[in-house]
Amino acid sequence: MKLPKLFRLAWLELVRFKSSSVFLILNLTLGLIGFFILQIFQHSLTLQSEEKAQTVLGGDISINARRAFSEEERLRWESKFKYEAKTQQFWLSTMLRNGEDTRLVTVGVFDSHFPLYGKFKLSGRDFTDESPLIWADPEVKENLRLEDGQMIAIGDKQFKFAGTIEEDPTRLFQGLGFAPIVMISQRYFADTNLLKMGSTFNEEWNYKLPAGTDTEPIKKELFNVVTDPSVRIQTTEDSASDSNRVLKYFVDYLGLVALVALGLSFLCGTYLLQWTFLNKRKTIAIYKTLGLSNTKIVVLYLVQNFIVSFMACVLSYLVVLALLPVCQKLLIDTFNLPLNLVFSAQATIITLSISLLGPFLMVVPQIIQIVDLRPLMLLQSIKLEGPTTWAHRLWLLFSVAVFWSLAVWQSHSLKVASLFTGSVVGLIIVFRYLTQLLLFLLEKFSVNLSWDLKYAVKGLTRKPASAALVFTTMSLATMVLSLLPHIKTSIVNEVRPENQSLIPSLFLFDVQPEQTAGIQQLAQNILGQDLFYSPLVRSRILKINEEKYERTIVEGQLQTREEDQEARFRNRGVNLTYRSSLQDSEVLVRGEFNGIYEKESGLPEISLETDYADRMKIKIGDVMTFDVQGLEIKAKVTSLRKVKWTSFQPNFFILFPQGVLEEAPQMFLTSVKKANTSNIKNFQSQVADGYRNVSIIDINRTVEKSLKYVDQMALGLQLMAWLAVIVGLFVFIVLLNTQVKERLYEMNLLQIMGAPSGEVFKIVSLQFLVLLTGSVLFGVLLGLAMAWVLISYFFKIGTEFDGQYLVLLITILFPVCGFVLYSGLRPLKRLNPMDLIRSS
Amino acid sequence: MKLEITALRKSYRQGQEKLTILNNLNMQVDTSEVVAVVGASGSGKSTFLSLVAGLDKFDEGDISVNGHSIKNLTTAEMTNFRAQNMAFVFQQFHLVPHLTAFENIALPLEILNRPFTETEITAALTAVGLSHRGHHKPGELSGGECQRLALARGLITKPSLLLADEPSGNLDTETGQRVMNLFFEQVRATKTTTVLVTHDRELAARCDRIFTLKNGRFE
Repeated sequence: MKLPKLFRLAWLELVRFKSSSVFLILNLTLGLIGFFILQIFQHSLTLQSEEKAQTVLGGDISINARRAFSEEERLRWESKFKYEAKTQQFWLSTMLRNGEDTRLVTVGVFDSHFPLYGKFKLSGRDFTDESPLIWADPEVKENLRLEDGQMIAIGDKQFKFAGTIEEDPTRLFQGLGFAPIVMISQRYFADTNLLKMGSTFNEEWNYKLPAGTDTEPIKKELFNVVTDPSVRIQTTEDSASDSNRVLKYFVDYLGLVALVALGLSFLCGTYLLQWTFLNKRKTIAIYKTLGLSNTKIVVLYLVQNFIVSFMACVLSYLVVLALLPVCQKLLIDTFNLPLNLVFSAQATIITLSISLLGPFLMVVPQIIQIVDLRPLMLLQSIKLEGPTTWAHRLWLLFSVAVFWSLAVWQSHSLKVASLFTGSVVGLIIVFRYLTQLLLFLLEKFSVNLSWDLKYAVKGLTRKPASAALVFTTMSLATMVLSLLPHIKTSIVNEVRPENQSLIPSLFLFDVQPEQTAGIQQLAQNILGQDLFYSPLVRSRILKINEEKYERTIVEGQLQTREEDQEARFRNRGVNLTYRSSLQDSEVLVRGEFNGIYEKESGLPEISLETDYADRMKIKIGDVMTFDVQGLEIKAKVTSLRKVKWTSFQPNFFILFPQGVLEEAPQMFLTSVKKANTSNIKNFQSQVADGYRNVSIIDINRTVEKSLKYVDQMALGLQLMAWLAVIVGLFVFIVLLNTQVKERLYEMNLLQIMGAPSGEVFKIVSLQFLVLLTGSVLFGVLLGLAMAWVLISYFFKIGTEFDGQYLVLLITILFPVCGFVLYSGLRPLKRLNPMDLIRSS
Repeated sequence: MKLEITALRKSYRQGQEKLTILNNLNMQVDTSEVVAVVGASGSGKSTFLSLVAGLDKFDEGDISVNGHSIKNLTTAEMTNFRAQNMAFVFQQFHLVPHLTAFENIALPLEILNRPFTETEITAALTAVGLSHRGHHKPGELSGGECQRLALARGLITKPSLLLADEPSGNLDTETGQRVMNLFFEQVRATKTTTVLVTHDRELAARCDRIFTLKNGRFE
């Protein structure tokens, strides 16, 4: 048979099985929509980050550290490459004060060459060093109620407020920062005396390279010259991925929720294909007796599959095309994200590939059965084997592997992807056995019920596969939907200050040793409380167990989250503290911490935060060597401790005992407990006035800002979760439809035997009602359980369930499901026993 | 076309027990000959037909069509051999439900990549009295019409061997008779070698020879 004829035959079959073809196309379309939108989002993000990488970085290559560079150091690296222009910047935190209002800001100190690429859009006038001017983010102007032309102090220097920063090319997609930015010229920086006062700062050098220079070899060469791992060397490529790191994390998790929807739709697709195949078996046997070879029949079904997949892809493309303006508006209005969503060839190709490959994977069980199908069935009644051969098992394993690969690709994390895939597969297995148990119990307890109820139960127990599919998809979709609000509520409950009296109001850092007493005095006078200072000693790790601790150089694009985190952790300096005992926010989990060091007892014994130790692969008994301002200090890890980071106390990864670091250069951190608002404001003003280098974080404001992001992320995830529910509902509609078709014969038979039509309707309604109620309730319960597990073990905070949302969810889901059920069962209301006679 | 069956044996396993269905069957059918295989229900008539068609494997003996043994043919080779040489008429018609009568008849030719004209198909439809039903699908035809369509489909490739399994078994007596009249008329006219499996002695009597299956053997 020639290919065009085969195509025609494939098309005719699709048309003949119209309803299952349409269901298959719609099902795939629904599954693909979320995935497609996400691909567009991801690619728009990457594309725009790459396009603006130079402006975000402020050059082609950037070298920065949380310390001052010596001239010798700089000349050494500058000898390794040619550059056309360079610029130096400093970044540091300080308090700005206007009358009673104070605000922590990040000061960007620029020379006249900055930025080497792109341009700041400033209100008022352009950036200049002619006079001491200051520009600030609109947030600062609003918070401090600044007027144009007004004088404001940074450190010891007065600056004239020149206007706001309308557009900052260096801050693309970076919403979350501790403090808003103000910018001043480097010419007046020394006059502020902030460095002399001991403020923490970053020095950064940016270089513009001749056009077409490959930055990667230069970066490698620089790593040989700049051996200090705390020095960060970035190219435009790094900048592209760095500029949207938080967003990427968010998109990764969004991707996993989209995968749930896609997975559900593939699950439903596999069912639909199998159902259609069972109805086509006889036709396939006829083809075989007429001489159509197995290969041709397989090609015929692959062609059909291709047509369906392609149509689903086109349909999802059209739906996404229609949805894109809505998503764009949502991004800008709700998420405040200046991302221009654009269709890219890459996003389309990826979605097209998934939409073609997924169904090809789905059709494998049918192909196995087509090859195994014997045309003998036309002459004899032979027992037909289901797809339970080794090939089928291999297919199952392969499908899980593909799903896992997709999850890795989507989440950029082996750990998260494995956990996710494991959970999904585990849940499907649990659902399967749970359905079996449920059906077993139903059958057992239905013995003494009326005949119609008994018959309804039998309808379920004799079709365990389809019952399990409804149960699995609906439970999984409901679980995803009910999971997220609990996590959000728990986070909000944990960190929102009014809910937790233990959370401090202010957090002070960069306090110099000579300033501690004065600030303590202020706190006692104004707030009536004692401040407890935590020392902070900057250092870098030199060795672990005598092995040189080197910088991790990441090459290539495919980098997992874990590798990325480890590299980031390794490549930065570490802050040490010392104390004689643990504080309230810390719990010792392993080993012992001896808070006082005695020289004769050997090496100082240090305590590491558990997750940090895991990430750095350090265990109890390891010896770490630190460089503290040029002095080598060795210490032995003797304990691991958990830290409650949400306590907002001065917490550290590495804790030394007293008696080791006291003489090292250090500064102090402290927090201010809750107190009267006006006193807090007064205290803030006094500190900002008297101790200009000291930075104060208003925890209330920071938390509220963070919660805004939590809200936005939760909304995004929730929208994607609703898509999973829509797919779940669609699966339910498909199953309802196919099951009703399968039951029409027996229902007609029941009617012929004297059962009233209402009774027949009741029987089938009951069957699906039981399944639906069970799966929705179980999904909600499982959502609660999963939320508890994630909140307790992943977020490591207290669990707070969102009861209101649960009620709302159930209130919405049940009527919707009820409506779907009623509409799906309508054919049963029009039963005609004549159909039975006609069909036989 | 000549069909030769020698010492054919077929058995099935039923649990631990081996059940011999056909035992040492021998048959020779000459070109254009129409033979009937009769027997009671469960005597192995359909099994016999499925072995001749190469739809099932036999344990011992041989079947050869025009001197070509089908014993060692692979599934793919058998499929091709069947398409080139054989055709079927089933008791339950087994027409492709989503194709029209016209398309059902054209399908075997399309599978064989044999060129055909619309006139040929129309002529085949006319020969079985279905010229006015060409655009109807099997679901829209009566039982008798379906079987006539199945007959036209079977003969369109001009097969060397036509295998018919109780062609009137699903039809009422009158329709069955009309269909079988047409059946004999067509196979005689086209000189198609035919093996007709039936339990209807009257029908069998219209064939050139009768083979009676009893206890797995021809009597």
